[in-house]
Amino acid sequence: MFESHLITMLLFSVIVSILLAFLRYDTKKEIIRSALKLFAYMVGGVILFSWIMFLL
Amino acid sequence: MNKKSQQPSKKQQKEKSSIRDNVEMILEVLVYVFFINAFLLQTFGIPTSSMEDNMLIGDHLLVDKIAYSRSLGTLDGFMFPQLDMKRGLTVVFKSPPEVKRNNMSRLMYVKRVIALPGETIMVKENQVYINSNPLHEPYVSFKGNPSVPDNFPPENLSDWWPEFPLEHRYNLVETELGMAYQVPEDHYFCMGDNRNISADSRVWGPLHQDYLIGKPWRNYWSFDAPTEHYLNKNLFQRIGYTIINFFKHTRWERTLKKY
Repeated sequence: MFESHLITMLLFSVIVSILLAFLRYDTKKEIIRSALKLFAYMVGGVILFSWIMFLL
Repeated sequence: MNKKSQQPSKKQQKEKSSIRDNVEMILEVLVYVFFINAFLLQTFGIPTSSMEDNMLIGDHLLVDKIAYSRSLGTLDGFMFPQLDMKRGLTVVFKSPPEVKRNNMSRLMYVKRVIALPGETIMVKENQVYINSNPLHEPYVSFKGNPSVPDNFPPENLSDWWPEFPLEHRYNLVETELGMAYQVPEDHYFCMGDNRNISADSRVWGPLHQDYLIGKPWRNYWSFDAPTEHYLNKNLFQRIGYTIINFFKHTRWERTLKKY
């Protein structure tokens, strides 16, 4: 599993986004929303920047 | 005792909350730095002239960690622009254990892939032959006093470098040009561009793919300083030297150079 860059990154992003959302917010709704947003930023950011590096 | 005096005052609560906020912020920043470093980009400074003239001492590289990353299926390849390893590509890699053993180790190295798994390599008077065909290498230079022999594999067993792993010394095959070395599966034969002084696969053996870190992407800063500066373990001396000579020794023309 850890041989895949993508899967390792997804796993790390899930754990970090949940932990940081718990640290930042108190209500369940806020935690879920924040964790999903952070997860999307992290994964989306890496994918986007990897293509920028490839093209530039 | 007065109950009120036992409870923290508003000021104390505010201070506590401010400390907690700061700690959380620092932790978050550390997590993001680790995330970027582990999955996207890593920095690497070149301390020796083993890749001259293409990479100079003091070039500071941004290393693309996606390009040579490993995947389990098509999903990785679809989402990430991963590259197939080819001859001539430059690679940044972790120091292999053979190098560490002799205390000549740095954390990371940069070299060029010369032979792929299964191929045979032979170096005769500095001319590289892959599968018995001469390799055209426009990037090669020969600077400094030669410290690495111009022939590979060595003719005598006693001539192998002690760092070269014993288990890989027997991958020799007879070719029309003489004895050649066959690169094992999952390994790459990497060499520096400055053949005279580069301690590379000729010295410490083929590189296992697990040690690959990534592909040099851009040069974010090039600072002209001698090797001793980069290998100096006294951090304060290094910082002082860099601050004093920043403008004078920075090679501005190499900034953001692509590899």
